[in-house]
Amino acid sequence: MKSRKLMNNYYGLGYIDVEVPIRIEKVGEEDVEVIDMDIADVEKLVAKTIIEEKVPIRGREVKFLRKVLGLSMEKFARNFDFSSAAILKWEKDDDKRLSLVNELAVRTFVNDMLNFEIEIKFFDLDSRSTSPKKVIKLAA
Amino acid sequence: MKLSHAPERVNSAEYSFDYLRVIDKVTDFVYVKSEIKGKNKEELRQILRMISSGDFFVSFHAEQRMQERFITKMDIMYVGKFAISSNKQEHGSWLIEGQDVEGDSLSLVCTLKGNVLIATVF
Repeated sequence: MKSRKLMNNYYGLGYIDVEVPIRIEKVGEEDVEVIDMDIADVEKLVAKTIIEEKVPIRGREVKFLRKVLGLSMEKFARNFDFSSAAILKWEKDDDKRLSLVNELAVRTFVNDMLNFEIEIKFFDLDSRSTSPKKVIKLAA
Repeated sequence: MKLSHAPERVNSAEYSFDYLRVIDKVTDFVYVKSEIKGKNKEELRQILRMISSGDFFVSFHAEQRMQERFITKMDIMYVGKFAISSNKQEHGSWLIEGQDVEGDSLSLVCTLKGNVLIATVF
């Protein structure tokens, strides 16, 4: 039997809800709800949404994007010639937006690593916004 | 039960965990002790190979735990590649212990029924 289920507040990104397909699988005596797709595709979809919708990159977005890439803080930092301490400082403050220069670097890096091929323009970024404007519901 | 060879943690500076070309070079790095015999030994090998190559599904419950702990698929694959210990549980599930990409401990409970199903993480 197949259905869909909503995941609210995906990875603490309060503006994104994700709906995923579910199937029921028998494990021993129990019926278990299994996400009937590759969870990496869900993660990648949300990462793409963050880049495409020009969501302000704050500490929580940095952490999510870094984890989707499967990079430690040290490895992530090396790509920007920063120390891991700098990344830790970014991620520690969930709600603080990165400087525009750093945000542009992170967006471009993620865009390239995940082959999104999204056109990223500096002047498209709203420098005044410090938090995402809307709730986005994605159907994975 | 501890595996007799605990693989060294790869220096993250040298390790390239490329999202797009992940683990097409899975090697049988895990030495399984002789106490895990026959069918169980083969089952464990298969589970670890599948996890490390990303070939698994997750339960909805496991996904919720993953989000709480900020664990992504890459972290789970890392455990499959660098498992430290494993135990077969009652009801046929496996407890596999390892580390996430950040070096924090991460344990998986999974079953093999055609596919690998990650039942929970902690």
